[in-house]
Amino acid sequence: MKTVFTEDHRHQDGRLELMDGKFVPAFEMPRRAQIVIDRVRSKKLGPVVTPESFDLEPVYRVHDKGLVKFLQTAWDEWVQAHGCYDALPITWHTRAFRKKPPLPESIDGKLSYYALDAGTPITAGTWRAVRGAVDVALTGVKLVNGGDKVVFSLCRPPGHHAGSDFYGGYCFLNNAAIAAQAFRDLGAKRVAILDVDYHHGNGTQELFYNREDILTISIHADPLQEFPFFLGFADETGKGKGDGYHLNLPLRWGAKWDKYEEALSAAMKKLKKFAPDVVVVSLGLDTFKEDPISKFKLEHEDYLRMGEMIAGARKPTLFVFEGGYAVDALGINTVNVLTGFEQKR
Amino acid sequence: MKTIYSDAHRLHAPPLEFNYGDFGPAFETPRRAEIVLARVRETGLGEILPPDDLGLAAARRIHDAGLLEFIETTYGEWQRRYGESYVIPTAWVAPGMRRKLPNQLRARLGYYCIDTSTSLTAGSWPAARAAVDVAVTAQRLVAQGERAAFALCRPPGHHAGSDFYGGYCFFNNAAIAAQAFIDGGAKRVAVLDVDFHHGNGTQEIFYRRGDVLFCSIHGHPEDEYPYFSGYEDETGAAAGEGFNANFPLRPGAAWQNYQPALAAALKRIDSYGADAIVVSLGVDTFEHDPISHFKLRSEDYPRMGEMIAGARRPTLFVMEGGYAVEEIGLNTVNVLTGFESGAR
Repeated sequence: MKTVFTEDHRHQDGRLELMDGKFVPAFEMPRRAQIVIDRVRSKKLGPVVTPESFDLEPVYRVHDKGLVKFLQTAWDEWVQAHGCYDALPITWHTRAFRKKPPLPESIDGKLSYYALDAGTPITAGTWRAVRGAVDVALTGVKLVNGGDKVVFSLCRPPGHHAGSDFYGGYCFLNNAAIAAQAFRDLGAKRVAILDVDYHHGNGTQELFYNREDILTISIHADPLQEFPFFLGFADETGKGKGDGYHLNLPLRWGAKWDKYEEALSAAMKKLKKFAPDVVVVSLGLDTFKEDPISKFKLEHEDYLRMGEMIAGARKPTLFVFEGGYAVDALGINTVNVLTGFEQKR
Repeated sequence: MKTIYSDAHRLHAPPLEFNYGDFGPAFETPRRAEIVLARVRETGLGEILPPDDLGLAAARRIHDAGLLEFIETTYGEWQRRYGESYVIPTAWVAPGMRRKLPNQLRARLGYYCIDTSTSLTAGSWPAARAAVDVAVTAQRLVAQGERAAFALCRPPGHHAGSDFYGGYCFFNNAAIAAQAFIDGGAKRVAVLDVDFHHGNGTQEIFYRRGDVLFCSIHGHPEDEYPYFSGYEDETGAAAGEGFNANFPLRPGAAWQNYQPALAAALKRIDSYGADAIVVSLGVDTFEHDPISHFKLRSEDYPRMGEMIAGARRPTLFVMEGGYAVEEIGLNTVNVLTGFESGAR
């Protein structure tokens, strides 16, 4: 299995994030990707290739141009307004008197318009890292489209919380969604996205909620208990033509492999029935028992089983890296999914 | 003019606030109210009286029971769960998400609170309750025949809505007072909001009602907090259509720009025929306010008071924002003395 990777991810290096009323060192840090690539190399998973550079067209297929422009200019505007430190929003639209309020002119207004939390700092290097992650995902698409049966796009920053015109949850652009749309644009008729990150993939859900050509499935902690809190319930099944093409499988805190395996079986059943031409996996490893911000109880060896079960779909598959914050275990768990997949394939 | 004041505001005193990407010294401090009180004394504006203890009935007329309970209980629960830290949300109901009340305390914060700069403290509940008592006690004076009264409320209120709080505000003192006028028999009440920031909470509370006219003059939401409401085309809905009037002004507005907006607002109030006026009195329109961008000078505030007196209605002043602390007493009392000389 090829891994696509670039060191550009290091340019996203938030100093602190706001959590439960205090600043804590950012959980989403460059060491995450470093530890995974080290493990890919030491386990000889396969060649590590650098991404090609793509233009922004595939991004615009998924994201609002205003968001993309904002991500390119926010840092400079912020520095001009406040100085050289990480940018965070101060408020958000709640009960606005219009469906979509106009985009404010000031940088604080813009941050508050586009952000869905205060835990996702925009830094000097954010845009460069975000572009790199999109290139990593799109290079993975190109390889799979060219005949590779499975590829690992080691994206960082992650993407699945980012939607058409919002960012947050450590995510800026939705790498997995951009990849899924790119597969469609290259000729795939049906694409399935399976999101196994501990947190609900609210961005991915929002992007494809009305679509029947892209099936989206997410297994995650119950939003009544966990971020993003206000989306990811079992009764959200898609809308319009997309009705029946979205599946949320929320699990309660403390879920171990027995509960998880049941949910993943249900997800794979739905996925196989959909008969996609290609599968995109949003691969988060924050389901691990020692994850510092999550509360599932998966063990190292459970990730091998997870990879095997995903391989059971027997479809060309692109793994896109998402969350996982038990950094020391992140390489083992990630590569366990990938080797489990390869062994079963 | 009588002033109603309670020391209980001091119980709410977060040392820091989270604003513009970092924790910094709080702008909304107890000293604000103390300086206003000192100026009331110094100028001999009138008697200073404590509020009556009126209970929660008036607040319940405006606010959702869940919000009241949340403000009362959250600080203690938070301390038990997360220890010493600022009680502020980090994630919220983003567009497209569902407004469902979550189980987790940290998530409930994102449900009820609209920004990161309003922290709940051990004293928020008693201070916010006392501010409501201050507002309603002063309202009663006016309802009983006083030409005007000054409710020296702190914390302020106009950003708090029926089921949300933020912008340093917990309960909407001015809206609660307006409702108290209605409940006391007034047919029509006008709320005139002269705080620099749009009174989004007051607007939300009365947006569908015709018995309360809301007029707000404020920094344009394209430039200023709360950013997502306060546009001119928000004119009310359903029975409230035509009873909401926003007068956004651009940063840098001086008295020459402010005066025509205030005249237009007062004209609306006059043709509406309000039985009483509640003024949400923020003085963060001042040229040296540290977080605002208008250019009013201290000598403009007596004129503001005179113009409001010109409406010739029973008038309740309710203290809102203003963060140029050293001048907050001068500017606030300038409005009130201007009113008194205009009312003579």
